Amino acid sequence: MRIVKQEVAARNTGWSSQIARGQVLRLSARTIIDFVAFDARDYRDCFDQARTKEANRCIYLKRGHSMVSRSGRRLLTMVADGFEGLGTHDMQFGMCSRARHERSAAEGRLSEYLHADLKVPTHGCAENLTSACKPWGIPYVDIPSPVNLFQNMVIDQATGTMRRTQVRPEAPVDIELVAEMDLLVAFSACPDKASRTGGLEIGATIVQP
Amino acid sequence: MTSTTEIELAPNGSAAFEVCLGQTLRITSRSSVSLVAFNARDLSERFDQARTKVYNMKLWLDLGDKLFSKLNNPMFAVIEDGFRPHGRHDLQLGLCSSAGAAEATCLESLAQALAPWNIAAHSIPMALNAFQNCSVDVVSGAIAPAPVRLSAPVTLALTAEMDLVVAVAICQVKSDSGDAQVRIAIQ
Repeated sequence: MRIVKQEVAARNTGWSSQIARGQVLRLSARTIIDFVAFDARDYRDCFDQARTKEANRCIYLKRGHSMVSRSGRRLLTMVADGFEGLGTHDMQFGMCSRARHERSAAEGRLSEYLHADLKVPTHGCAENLTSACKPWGIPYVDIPSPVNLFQNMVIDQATGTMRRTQVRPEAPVDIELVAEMDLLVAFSACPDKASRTGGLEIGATIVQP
Repeated sequence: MTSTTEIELAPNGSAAFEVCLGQTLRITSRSSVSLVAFNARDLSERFDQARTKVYNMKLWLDLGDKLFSKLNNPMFAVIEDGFRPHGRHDLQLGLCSSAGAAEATCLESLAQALAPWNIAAHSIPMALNAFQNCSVDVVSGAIAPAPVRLSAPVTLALTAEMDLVVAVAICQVKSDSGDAQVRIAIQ
């Protein structure tokens, strides 16, 4: 087993990398990561929240589940989940952004992010993922809604109403995803306004077993 | 008096058409209908399931809720929902995949309808799955289709918040073998 790559994405930045089939991506974090993946041979066949929920018969991504592409192919499988038992990974929401935060502020809805007193970030995951995907020629409109790792939500069973929570690991934990095919992967270290921290750095390691 | 335009469905159960800002789209059906929308002024701006749920902070749509684009702009407002007593329109699942070779998938049907606008299949977003009820367990996350058998068609009415290109497809896979009785009207 050898480490192919070991990097840290600073808070509120984007990161991307190629990863080969069979390699493992280890993400170490305690705040939200907006994570996406693309078939390395055809970026149009990218991660899809809906296809993934169908394949797993589950609205949350859990250990043993795969992230599935638009065409229904397995992109990555979650083999370790340090958040398991503490919270769930979300596949309802999209990426936060300057536009989203501004609209929220204009409508007086910043409290939905729990810590409305935190300074509104200058940008968010949409901008970060756009930067991360730009070298690969993928525009924002073709970046799919992500898996929002560590974005534990509370959903009301009767009304379907969702709200954010502060549930996060006390210290960074690992999530491990094995690539089922050659991929481009990318993520944003979210300026996680629901967390008192306002988002932290993310460790990204690619391991060749 | 506002005129009403009836939209004719192709033999594969799909159609694509324009709906202008302020017009109301009425879909009356007994069966699942997949609906996607695009900004008529910029077809790269597409309906987005996730942005819709972020804005509404809900899994499902209630009266007054809006359907949003990937660029955070409102596309439609829900003004009437005859399905509400029976079930909830779905924003979780993807376009159907075919159970058998004879049936076109919703994605194929939508792509055929959108061909005049040069919108390729890979550019079609996951849809509003209208009249397609699912059960969701919010604790375990388990999701399963929970089809509702309607004895008579019901109407979903959406008012356009921008000029749109809209495409709909009756789900051939999920439809009853009986008549879906789908009518599409723009007023």
